[in-house]
Amino acid sequence: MDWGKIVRQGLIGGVALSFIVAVGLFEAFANRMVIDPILTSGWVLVLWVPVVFGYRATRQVVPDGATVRAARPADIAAGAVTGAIAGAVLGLLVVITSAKPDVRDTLLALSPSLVQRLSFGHSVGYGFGVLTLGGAILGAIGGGIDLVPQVVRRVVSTVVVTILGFAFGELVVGDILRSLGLRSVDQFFYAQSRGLKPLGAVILAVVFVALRFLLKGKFKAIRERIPLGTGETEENRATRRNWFLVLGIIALAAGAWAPNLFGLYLNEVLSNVGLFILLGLGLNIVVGFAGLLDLGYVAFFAVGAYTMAIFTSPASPAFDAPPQWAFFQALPLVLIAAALAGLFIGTPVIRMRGDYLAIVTLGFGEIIRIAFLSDWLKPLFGGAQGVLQAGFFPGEQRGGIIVQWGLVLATIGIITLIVGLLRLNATRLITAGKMSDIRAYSQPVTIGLLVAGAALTIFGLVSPGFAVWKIYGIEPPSMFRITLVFVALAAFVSWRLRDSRVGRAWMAIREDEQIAQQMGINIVTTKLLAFVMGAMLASLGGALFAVKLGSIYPHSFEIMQSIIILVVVIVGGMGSIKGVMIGALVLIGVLGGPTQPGLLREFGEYKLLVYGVLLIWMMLKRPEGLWPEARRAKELHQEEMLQDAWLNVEPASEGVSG
Amino acid sequence: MAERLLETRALAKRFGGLNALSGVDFHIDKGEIVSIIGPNGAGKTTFFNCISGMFAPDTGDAIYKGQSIAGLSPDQITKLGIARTFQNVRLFPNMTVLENVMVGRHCRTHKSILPTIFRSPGFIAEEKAIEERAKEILSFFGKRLHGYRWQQPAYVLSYANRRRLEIARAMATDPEVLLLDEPTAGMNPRESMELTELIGQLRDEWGYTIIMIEHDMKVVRDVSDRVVVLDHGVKLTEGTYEEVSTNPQVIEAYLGKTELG
Amino acid sequence: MATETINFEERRVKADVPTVVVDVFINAMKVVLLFFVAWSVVGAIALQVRGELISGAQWRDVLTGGIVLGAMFGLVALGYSMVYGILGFINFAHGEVFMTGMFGAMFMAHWTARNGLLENATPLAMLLIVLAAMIVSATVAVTVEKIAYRPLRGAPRLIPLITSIGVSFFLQYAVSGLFGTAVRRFPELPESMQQRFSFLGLLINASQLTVFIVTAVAVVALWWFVTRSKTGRAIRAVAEDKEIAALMGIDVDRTIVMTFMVGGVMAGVSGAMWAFLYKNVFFLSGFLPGIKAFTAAVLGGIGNLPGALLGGMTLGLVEAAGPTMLTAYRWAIPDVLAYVVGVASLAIAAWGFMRLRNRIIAQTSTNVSMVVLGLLFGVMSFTVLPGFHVTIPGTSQLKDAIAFIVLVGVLMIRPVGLLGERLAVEERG
Ligand SMILES: Nc1ncnc2c1ncn2[C@@H]1O[C@H](COP(=O)(O)OP(=O)(O)OP(=O)(O)O)[C@@H](O)[C@H]1O
Ligand SMILES: [Mg+2]
Repeated sequence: MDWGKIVRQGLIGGVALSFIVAVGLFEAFANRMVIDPILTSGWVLVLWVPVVFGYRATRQVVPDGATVRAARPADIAAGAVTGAIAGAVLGLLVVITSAKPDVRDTLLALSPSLVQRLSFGHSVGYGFGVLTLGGAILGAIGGGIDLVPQVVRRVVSTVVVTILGFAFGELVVGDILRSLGLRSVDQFFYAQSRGLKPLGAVILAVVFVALRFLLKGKFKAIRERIPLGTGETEENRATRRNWFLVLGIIALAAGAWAPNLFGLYLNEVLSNVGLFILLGLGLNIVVGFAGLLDLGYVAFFAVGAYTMAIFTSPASPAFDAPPQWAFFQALPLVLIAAALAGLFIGTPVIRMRGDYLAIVTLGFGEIIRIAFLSDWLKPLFGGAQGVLQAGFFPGEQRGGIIVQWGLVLATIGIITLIVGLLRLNATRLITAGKMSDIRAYSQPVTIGLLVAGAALTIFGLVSPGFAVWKIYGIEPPSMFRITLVFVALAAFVSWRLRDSRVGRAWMAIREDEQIAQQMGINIVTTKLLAFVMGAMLASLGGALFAVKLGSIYPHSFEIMQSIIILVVVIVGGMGSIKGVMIGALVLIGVLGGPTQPGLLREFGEYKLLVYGVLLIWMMLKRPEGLWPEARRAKELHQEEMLQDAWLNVEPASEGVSG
Repeated sequence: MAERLLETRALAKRFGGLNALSGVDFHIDKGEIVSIIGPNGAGKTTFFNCISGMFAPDTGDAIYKGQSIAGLSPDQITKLGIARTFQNVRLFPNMTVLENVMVGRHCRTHKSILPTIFRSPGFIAEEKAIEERAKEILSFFGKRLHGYRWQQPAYVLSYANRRRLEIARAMATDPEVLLLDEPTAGMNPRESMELTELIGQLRDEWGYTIIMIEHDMKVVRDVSDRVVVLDHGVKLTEGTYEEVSTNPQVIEAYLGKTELG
Repeated sequence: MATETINFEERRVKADVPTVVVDVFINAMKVVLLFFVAWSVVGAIALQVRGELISGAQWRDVLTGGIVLGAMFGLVALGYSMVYGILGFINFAHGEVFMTGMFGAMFMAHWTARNGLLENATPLAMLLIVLAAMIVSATVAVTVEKIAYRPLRGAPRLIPLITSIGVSFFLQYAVSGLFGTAVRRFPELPESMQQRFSFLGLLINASQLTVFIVTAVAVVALWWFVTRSKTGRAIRAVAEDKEIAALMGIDVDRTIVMTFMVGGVMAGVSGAMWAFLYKNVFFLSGFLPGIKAFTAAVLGGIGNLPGALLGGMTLGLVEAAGPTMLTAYRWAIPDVLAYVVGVASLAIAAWGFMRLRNRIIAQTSTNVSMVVLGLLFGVMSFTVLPGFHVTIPGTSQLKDAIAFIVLVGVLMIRPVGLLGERLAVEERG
């Protein structure tokens, strides 16, 4: 046994345990039950540590290709010792805390109630013993994990995931059950404290273990039956596109319907998630597609929110007679303002080195926030008081968005007309021999598009108000739905831009700017385009944010916001549209946004700590994100890759000369 | 006399105290293949960098078809019709083989934001044309960069294939002048022979005028119409391969590098 | 081949319009920035001569405040500069390293206050305080390097940068979790530290003098370490070229750790001084000073150690004097001056126009900028500028904005900084 390693891992584990406790996470989660009287989530936050370090203490670093040493029973002992050391360190912390109560002046979390909890209501010595013993048991589990048959490991992992999932997803499950009228089911599984009841937990665990073994391989079979095809033929691409479209529409419909299932709180969370998806998609164009690390992205969000607020609010500081426009009247202006801001901030940084760009955009973000905050520009932006009553309906004490269906139809009509006209033009060009005959454009469809488009446009413009929706900003479900519309728009635009000439140019710049320019890409316009697109999407988010809250303050636009949007994009997978959605769902939905609470409200002030850890962990272990673009990984041919493994390095960023 | 395509007059470039290029006069006519040789650090790559816009020359001028191009940006120069490859192959490693070549088409195509978002017929046609052209160019290398290779990321390619892909990417910009920086470096003898042949075809069939930096004297001998020797940023001499290879000055510059004889 | 259909004759050398517009805009930003700087300097001098700005005593305070602030920025900037020079990424977390140093100093100070050391043996207490901060900061810096940055050697540039943002968050909120979110105070200083006396013509109080002396000692020690010690030479070698340094038998990893340690020590000294001078310590205290210190590093030339100190001084002075300088915009531009500027601008426009006729395409951006900006300023000088003045209320709110504008301006006008940048061969982009 490698004693040095065991002691080292044990001590590191102990430090990790003590950190979790001393930082206050343990106490913060002490009252959130996982399984009602038995297990609190505070313990969950602690219990994994000895297991992991027990495992690490027995693992060796194996060079690629060498055979792994088989697990031995001695590993259990090694793991147990490691765990015991880790537990003992925590126990020591408890002992010290109870002996010297004034450590509390320095480390706030080390309170008498913590000592109480960690010594299990008995003496400190008892606590020390139990912690050490518990650590040893858990460490032994970690150390011996490879000795256990795989089936058992699968069962255990399923049980753990199921119980944690249902315990932490209690809000979602509970809301759904209640809205389906299954209150009794809810009460059967969940206790008063909102933790699982022991019996419920057992039943769920059994059911999911059974499901896992019954369904084994079934999903793969279903996936294989979907004719996606392999290889990049035109036909396969079309099939995939169709599937994508169908799935997208289903997702959209499900999203639009989802608020019905949820209560107010969840809907609020959901609409925040929507907002961050929108922002994330915008930043994804800048960072993910074009590789420009914009740390002042919140500036565009702020510009959108302020423009919207100033032109819609009856209390607008910028005007003596506020224009009080409606949301959609102000929206074009918001987009223009954001585009200008994008140009203004994008232009000076365009020729800067990548990391200088990061810090300068950060600087611009702060400059803009300070400007909004300053007394100097108070007559325009209201200074620290911000702009109140953003988007308020005339004569009402609340506001939001008015949707005039006539105008919506007219917009759809105009788009249809444009599509029709483009087709008409293409047909003309093809018959004149000026364009290659790529695709036959059926004449009746073209005419149909033109007629329908014209009809819709005329109808919409003649009676713009034939049906009017008032969406109140304080109603999360409707706000979520309208956010969803914008998200769909943003995703659509991102998707189309990505698979195009422009998208390839962005990608090339991201990969190697110097070479991209040498291959004929005008980096000035290409980068600015990314900036402007990103800015416009952010401003949409800002506009929604303004009417949602009804009042905006400069402190809503701190650097933190930029960073959190960035984390959403990175954790999801830079450059991946679906990744951004997953990232926002996981981070904003579960942990919460910078000021918005998520499913796990208990995280509260620790949210940002977790964000930091996640960011570091992602960069170290999975820099491509949770759900990266898979398209490139698809057809890797192993043999050539292995043969060239030594060449598989990042592009050198050195000068051109050899 | 054939059309004079590219010409440099007293081209000079300094890096700090180092004269990487001092007053290089050079010219190439349409349809020629000119090799530039010289010992390491002679300034060959710097010469390419000055022509291709990566650096602006300090003094002197580069003239392409009667127009001054010194100080223009790399993308402008590529647009004009001078494309290049790099000594230390620089592909877009995470883009597929096909995409790498399609990026080369960027400067010959136009469709921007709105047609892209609306997938206008013009956009679709252009996109299709880009792809076809890219595949046509890749098929120049036979089976090596064909079929399933199209969808592979560039980083999985073998070294020789990367060199080929770089040439393909440069070809995609529809150049008139192609600058190849040590195209056979790191290839085995069979591969460089094959590439030598292809370079001939690039001139004969594709109509490119080629300037090539090369250390492999067999390749130089087989394809070049003319050889220019650089040393310490100065043009030592130029002429046919035979003239140059027997020039005592050149032999001295190489300090007895035997492969010359 | 498809080449036959290509029309080579259409390919003429011409200026790219969007690029020219962007260049003109960038030049306009530079000119406007310089204009405002000049206006504020000239205005401040004019107002001062008339005795309408601030008193001599106030200037003296501004100056000492600026130098002291600058010294602290400079010490932190060293850490940014060294890491950027060697590893080529902005270590965002360095501001938090500085912040942990403040906490270390603050806790040690409380301990010495309880002991009576602070009151009775002030120099010894100060030494302990600075030592504590140095140890804490260096430990944090080295730990961070080991856990978060070392596995990322050779990763694409943005990866360590993003990681450092994560580290920065982690450190901030770990500190807030451990020690609370409330602002903590440095203990009251003994009477002896409050005295003011004259030093080199500046009226200075004892704590400022302490900061001064400590900084000077730290800088001298650093200079000695980098130039004379073996490790210091290794650091310089690695900063030149990692590969060759490795070939010469230098342990690059160890040297990088040493770099982080030295950076941490300097940040610790600075953190101790900061806590000592400004008293308030909390978990976000490191963020803004950190960014400003990075600005200082860029200002002086990144990778350049004397540059970092010079940059720090410059930034400190600018920040201290900034709010006052902003009030100088209430100085109305005299008519004569405006007309002189106007004539000069029109002359530049004319010159640009002449140059434009030479048709050297590569110079289009410059020439068009000369014409456009010359005309713009020319017209403005005869219409708006005479007598123009702005009164900005609440100038001290804009202090941070000034620092950022300095950053943007420096990176636009002189990206290599005042003394020129020094980067490892591997990191020269
Ligand atoms: N970006 C640069 N900065 C500083 N010096 C440079 C730069 N590029 C090239 N040099 C120097 O200029 C000289 C000429 O370099 P160049 O790369 O042109 O040589 P070369 O003839 O291509 O050599 P090789 O056969 O090794 O490729 C060398 O001494 C090199 O170090
Ligand atoms: Mg070379």
